[in-house]
Amino acid sequence: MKVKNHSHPHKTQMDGFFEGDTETPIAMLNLLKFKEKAEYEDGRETDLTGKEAYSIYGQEVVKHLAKVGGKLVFGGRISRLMIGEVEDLWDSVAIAQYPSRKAMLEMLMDPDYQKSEEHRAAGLEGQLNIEIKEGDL
Amino acid sequence: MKKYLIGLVIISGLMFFLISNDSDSNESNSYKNALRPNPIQLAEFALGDDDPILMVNLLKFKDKAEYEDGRATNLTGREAYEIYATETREHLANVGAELILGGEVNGLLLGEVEELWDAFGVARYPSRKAMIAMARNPAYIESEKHRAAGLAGQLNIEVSEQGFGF
Repeated sequence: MKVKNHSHPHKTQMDGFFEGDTETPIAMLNLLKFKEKAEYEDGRETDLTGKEAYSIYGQEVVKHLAKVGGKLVFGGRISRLMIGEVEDLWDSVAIAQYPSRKAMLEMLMDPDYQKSEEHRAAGLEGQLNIEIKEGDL
Repeated sequence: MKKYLIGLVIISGLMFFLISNDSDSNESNSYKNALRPNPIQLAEFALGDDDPILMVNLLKFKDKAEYEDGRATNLTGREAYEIYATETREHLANVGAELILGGEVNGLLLGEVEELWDAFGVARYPSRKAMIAMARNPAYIESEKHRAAGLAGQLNIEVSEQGFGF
């Protein structure tokens, strides 16, 4: 089976996200793959690794999450796969909780968030972002 | 001369195959769900350090449950797995571990996968020793029959909470 990491959603993914239930709590599982060296879209010079640039975003996003009532559940480095196979394993995992899709959209539209997002784009090669509806398993 | 030409055609064909394969893997990446770890995965797991670990599970269920002992059942794969999940809360607690988040996979906002997983769960263990102790417990092994009956396959990703800057 194939998997593709992306940095930005397709239009259809974005559309689908804001249709349907936008009011109930969701969790977002991020499977992250970093660039070796950070590359800023405005072309600024940097010595940061991709992971270091993303960590700036990660620290700042905690407060952006709090503003809309969301929070980071955990973030960590991937050590290995215990079951299954992935050709090019992701580097890190992070899970965020939002009170609703609407709250997530509000965060994404906030100019302060968009400023922090420059570091995400600089550091991230691509990712999966999987929406979870929490409940009993 | 003719032999040489045929050789050249085969080699250039191979080159094309390798190059096109290579450019393909830049943008897509293949994965395989499995039911159980392979021996190398088990060995690497056992040799790791003894810090707390998080296990991220991405689960794909069978349509219909199938028990390895061949017993008759009307359960769906998801229903069989739910028996395992319910019983496993206690097995986790017995070794000081817990399920910290679980639920249904709704969809993908970023990226593409050929076949999306059905459900997701994250467990935190105080150490890998604790996880091994759970996996060896006969009561857990009994519960695990429901897991094997319901699960088509999964990714189980080991995560260290150390070393991520936030």
